[in-house]
Amino acid sequence: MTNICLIGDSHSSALRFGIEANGVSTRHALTYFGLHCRHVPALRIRERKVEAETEEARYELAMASGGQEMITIDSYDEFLIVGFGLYIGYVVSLYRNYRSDCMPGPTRGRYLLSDSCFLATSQRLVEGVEAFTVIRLIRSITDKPITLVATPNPGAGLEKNDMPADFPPFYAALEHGDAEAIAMIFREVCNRLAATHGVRIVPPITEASENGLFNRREFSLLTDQNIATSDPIGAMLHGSDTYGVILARSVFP
Amino acid sequence: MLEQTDLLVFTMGLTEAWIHREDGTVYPTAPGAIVGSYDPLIYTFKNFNYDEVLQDFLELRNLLKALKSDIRFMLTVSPVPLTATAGHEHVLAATTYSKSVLRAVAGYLAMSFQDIDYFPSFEIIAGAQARGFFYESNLRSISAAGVDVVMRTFFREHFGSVESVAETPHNEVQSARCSVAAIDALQEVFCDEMLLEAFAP
Repeated sequence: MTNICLIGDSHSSALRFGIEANGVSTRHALTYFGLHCRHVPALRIRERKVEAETEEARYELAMASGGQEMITIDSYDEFLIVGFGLYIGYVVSLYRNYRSDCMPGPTRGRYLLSDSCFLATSQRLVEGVEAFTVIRLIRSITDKPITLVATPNPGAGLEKNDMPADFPPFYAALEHGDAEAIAMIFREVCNRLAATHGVRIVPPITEASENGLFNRREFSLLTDQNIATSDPIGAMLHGSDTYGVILARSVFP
Repeated sequence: MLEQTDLLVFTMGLTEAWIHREDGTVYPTAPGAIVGSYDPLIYTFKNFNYDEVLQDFLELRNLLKALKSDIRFMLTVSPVPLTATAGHEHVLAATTYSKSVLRAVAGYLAMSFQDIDYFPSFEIIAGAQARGFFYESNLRSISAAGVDVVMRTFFREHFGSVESVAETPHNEVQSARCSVAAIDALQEVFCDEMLLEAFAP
């Protein structure tokens, strides 16, 4: 039985459901550490343990793990990092003002970058997310296998006009026919970052995909009427239990 | 796009080209050489000289100034040597001719016009001081280390430091990060609730 340490943010919820539903726990011993993204900068390595410098972060670590306020790296065979900002939205944000050669959409309105420049900029954007801070901490003391799971693509079904002003231009990319190209760039970014950091990255599950940049509605929390009504954007950005099931199949093939 | 351009970075590559005999269209490769067949009755090889390159760039400058009167230019010369030449000289001599003409034109333009600057990426990569270190093993492609040195030099000379570019608030990377972070901030409470729901005992 492999001892796996799962460290994740709110996106762990769907995966956890999938892990239980798929019976993964019978093959692997999993210890969960839940942590909001904002607490990642408070993490430090001390004596081969990941510790948190703030009370709130320590509380969150202990909440899911049965009371463990720190992560003893040597206790685990593998590490599973979930979410922490690994999100296609960064590439879509770059698309607000820039496009690349591989995008078939209209040429006006966005500065043209070469494919390699768009890819390199996307990589730099994505590499700045908290997930890689966690990976660097672990990698600083062990070369044990690490799997990083990307956050799901947004669920389809909300109206473009319901999006906040800062929301990355997912809808524009779709309207202009550039969605597939952006999705392809994000997958390539994941491949490159996996090679750079010596980790395995599980990108958004293509089986759930709709139009490249979105997931079908049923794979998001938009299907939960209560959540979708109270916070439609949050519901759109989080995977459902159904998504968790197919995600768990990819993470634990 | 050109109407909104403040600075055009223009890299001169080589002087060899092909021309349509009737309408004067210029092609970077021999038409039909890769797909189809080359017809010497329709196209002809042309190795541009100093005066022609200079005049072409001045015409381009006038055209762009008509679109955006305050546009500025940064010229560079590609350090990538020719793989082959359609002329009668050896490719080494052909490379030296091409690069010399382009470098001389770029230098003259930078000396003569306030709105034109020259950035010496050619010298950084191809200069003797680099000892060929910045070329890949095929002696033609530029290595990642070479690109890195050129870009670091560029940003240091024009923005103060590489780091200051990364920290510029108007920098696109920063801007895209802020955009996603703004959405994340809106979702903070939601994410906390999701964590609690998933993990609270």
